[in-house]
Amino acid sequence: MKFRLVIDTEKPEEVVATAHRRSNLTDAIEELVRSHGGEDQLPAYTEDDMLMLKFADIQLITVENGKTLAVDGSGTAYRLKQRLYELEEVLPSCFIRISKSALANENHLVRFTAGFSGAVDAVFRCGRKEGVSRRCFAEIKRRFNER
Amino acid sequence: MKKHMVEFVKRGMVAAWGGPVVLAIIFACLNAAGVVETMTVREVCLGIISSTLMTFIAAGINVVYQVERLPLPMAILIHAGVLYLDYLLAYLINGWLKNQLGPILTFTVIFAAGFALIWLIIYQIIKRQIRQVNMKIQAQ
Repeated sequence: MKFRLVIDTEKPEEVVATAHRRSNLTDAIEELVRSHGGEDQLPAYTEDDMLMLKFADIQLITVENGKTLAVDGSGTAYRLKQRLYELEEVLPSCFIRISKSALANENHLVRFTAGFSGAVDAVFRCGRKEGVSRRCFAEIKRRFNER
Repeated sequence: MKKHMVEFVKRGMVAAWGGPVVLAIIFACLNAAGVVETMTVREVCLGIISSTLMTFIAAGINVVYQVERLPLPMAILIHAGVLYLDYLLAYLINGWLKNQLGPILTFTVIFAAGFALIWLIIYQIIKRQIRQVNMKIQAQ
């Protein structure tokens, strides 16, 4: 893979990588670039506190009773102000949609399981299980098969 | 809901021709075996219309799996129920099944066994797909 650095003070700064598919390298580049610009975190709220939650620490984002919640490694849920579709635009590509109301950080996915009814669940490192919709599982399958 | 209804009709229309074709093949086989020699116009018309409708519903009802807010067990139950009624009514209307408890019970058992077998195959396919994805996750 080639590396090319263009120094041009006239153009806005951006990092563009061309690859045949997503890999650990593209993920690492994305994380590095975002963290360098301070774009790798979100304001998250608890009952009486606010903190900056790093993307890498978020295991899944789900919508419950109309509220957007981010779950971290300890299983704690933090309230987010943005809606799911807004988050999809800012989150790195390691976040994948697993249902109409949930996004998963694939770096924290342990496995998928199937119930006897054929329903698919995603299991996260924090121990939480979240349902995967049939349509999204087809997309997830395609994504993993490309690797 | 409207989107799913349109999809139901689309799927039904695509497959509806299959019913009369299968019916024609079965009658041709029965004729070749000497089981059916002649048929009345009423029997032919009823057979064609009911088999078209039966296939239309059987193909269209697959749309139930597209309804995301429907839990999968419920979707399976609806699918099985609609197919069962669809086939049973078509068979009874055409006189392919006697309207008696014994034949209906036999049909019910065969239908349940067939549906369970097909579902078991689908379940195994889903499990295999999950195993493949899990292997990729673990390899990361």
